[in-house]
Amino acid sequence: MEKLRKVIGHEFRMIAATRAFIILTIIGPFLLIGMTVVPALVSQGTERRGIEIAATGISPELHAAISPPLEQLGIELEASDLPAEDLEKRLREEDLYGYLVFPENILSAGPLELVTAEFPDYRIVEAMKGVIGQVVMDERIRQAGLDSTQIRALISPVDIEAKQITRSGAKAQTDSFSFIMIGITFTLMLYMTILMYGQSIGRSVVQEKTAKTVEIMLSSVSEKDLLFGKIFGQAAASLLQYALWVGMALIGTRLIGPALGLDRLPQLSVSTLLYLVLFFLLGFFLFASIFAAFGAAARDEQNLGQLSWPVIVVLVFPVVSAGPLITAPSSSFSVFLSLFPLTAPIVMFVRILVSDPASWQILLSVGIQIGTVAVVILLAAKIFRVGILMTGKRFNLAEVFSLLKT
Amino acid sequence: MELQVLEIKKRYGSVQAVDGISLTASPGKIYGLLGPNGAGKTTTIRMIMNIIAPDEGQILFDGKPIRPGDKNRIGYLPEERGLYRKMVLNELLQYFASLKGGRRGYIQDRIDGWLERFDLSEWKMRKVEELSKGMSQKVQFIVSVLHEPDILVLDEPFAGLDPVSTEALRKAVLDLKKQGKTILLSTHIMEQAERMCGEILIIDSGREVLCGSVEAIKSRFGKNSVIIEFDGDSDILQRCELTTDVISYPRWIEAELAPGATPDALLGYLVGKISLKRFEVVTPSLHKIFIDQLEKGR
Repeated sequence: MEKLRKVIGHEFRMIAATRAFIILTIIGPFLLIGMTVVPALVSQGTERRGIEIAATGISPELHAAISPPLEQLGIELEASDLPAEDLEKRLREEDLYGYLVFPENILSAGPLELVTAEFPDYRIVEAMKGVIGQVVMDERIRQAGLDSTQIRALISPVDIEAKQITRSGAKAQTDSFSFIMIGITFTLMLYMTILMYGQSIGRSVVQEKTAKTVEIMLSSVSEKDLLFGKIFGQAAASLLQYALWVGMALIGTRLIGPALGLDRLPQLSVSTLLYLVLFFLLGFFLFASIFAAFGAAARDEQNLGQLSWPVIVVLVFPVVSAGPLITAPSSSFSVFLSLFPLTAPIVMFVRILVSDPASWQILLSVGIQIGTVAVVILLAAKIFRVGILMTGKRFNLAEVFSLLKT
Repeated sequence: MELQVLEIKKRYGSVQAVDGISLTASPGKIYGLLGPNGAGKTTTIRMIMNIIAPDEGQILFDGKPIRPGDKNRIGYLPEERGLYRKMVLNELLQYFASLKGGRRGYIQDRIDGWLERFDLSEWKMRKVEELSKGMSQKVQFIVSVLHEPDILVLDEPFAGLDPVSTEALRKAVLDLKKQGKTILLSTHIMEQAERMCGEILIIDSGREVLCGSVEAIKSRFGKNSVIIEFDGDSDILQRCELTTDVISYPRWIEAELAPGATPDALLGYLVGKISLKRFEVVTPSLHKIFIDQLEKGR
């Protein structure tokens, strides 16, 4: 145990005292805060101000009716009788955002035409559609001899306010956009960190071979001490980094966010953070063991890359499936992936984050993962024991698994 | 501490890397493990170091199989040299010594002593990657002896060293021998083995070819060799019927007298044909015995 502790301490220092680790620890929280705050900023109404749009063929009455509400949305509608060529010239000179062509009889005619120099902003199009549509509809109702206020009240749509019962039983108002963003953020965070730390262990093991330090190490410690020393040393460094990042994310969402008026930022509960650490650790130990075994078998870092691509494909699967996982967290697809050991660490956590999965599913997923980690660590130790002293041979995947039989 | 290796065997797939090797290395002596490349020396050493397990046979330390704590009583200089290049030299030495159970304050004194002995004191706080190859090799040796092991296993310790460093290392090993350490020296440089080892074991293809004390082995092969240093055509001895097994070195030749031939007859034959500088009747060198035995075994 004493030797294992020393190897862990050494590995921890070798990782945590590097410039790359310190830089990543410092910029990591900003990346995370950026990934959570920026989408919230985007969703929280960043209406564009000072948008100038010229309107051709518009009657003075119609202009007077739609200009004030548009102005409130930051769109200035200027009546113009210039020909299209002149307006297009102004567009190119960036004097105008766009020009809107009103048909002769707007009450019965087809759609209006909006010409812009850049790709039209859907929020501007939607704003104008709403305002002009309302005015035109009111006019049609009036011409039909009906009371527009009464008609509007009759046809007003029903709104749905989405609320989710949390584990504590409280009903929280949810914002699906923020939800999707935070789901994607954490999927990415788990994916990137598990991959990054796992590969770091794989490289560290390969370097032990290429730098030829393995034999001197094995003359002092057992191969298990060396393997677990590397894994736990990296785990300690990773947990330190995670703790700092989560702390910064909490400060960002609880202090900086509200101070900036971003009250719709998702709040991370303590239980969510504990689940994050639990599933990170499960994923970390699983993939760290796999990468360590590949590192022991690999001749060099290039060979390690070739061996580990199938693992990376499995690891990236929850990321590319993030959309359906977040929007349908209780589908059989999501449930399967949250129980399948190689995808479970990421998928189960994301399911917990965006929904309220049954306790037995969480327990089963954790149990399967612990069992898988135990088996994989044993197999990895066997591959490590044989592979670590083999130099010069370039293994393929089948040959790596054949080491288990030796 | 006595090291006994009893009939150990190790097979890798279809290759029998080690096939029934036995040796006994005693305190205060240097035991030479000799053999050509691929003979099974490193595999034998790895089994002694408990890095790999033998398929058969036993390795005993003072008559007992290795226990977990025994690794701390053995120092090892592997053939595959390697150090953590990004570490500061002093930290590196502290780390390796601590893995062998060394206590920090005590180890520091020893680190300082060894660094001074090998003229490396000024590199103490520098990174390992800044050291030259020869310096790294000396550091590797320091790593193997820092924790004052009872048994020292040195696998090709002189390979790649310049003459000055070789001599410094040779003296250090002989000092450790005087201190009563049990030293197992693996090499394929026969001159080194002949100068340093009391007993030797020559192996080839995983099997024992020859073993015993250097003196006994040499006397067993009799005084039927001559060393001739001369100027002139070295091919003359290749054509001479009075000699067999001629080995040419850069400035001299070692030759075995043919059955029935005498040194006087050979000397008479050479006079007038070459300009002789030295003519000495000797026991065959270990190098010659080594080559003869390997050729005979194959």
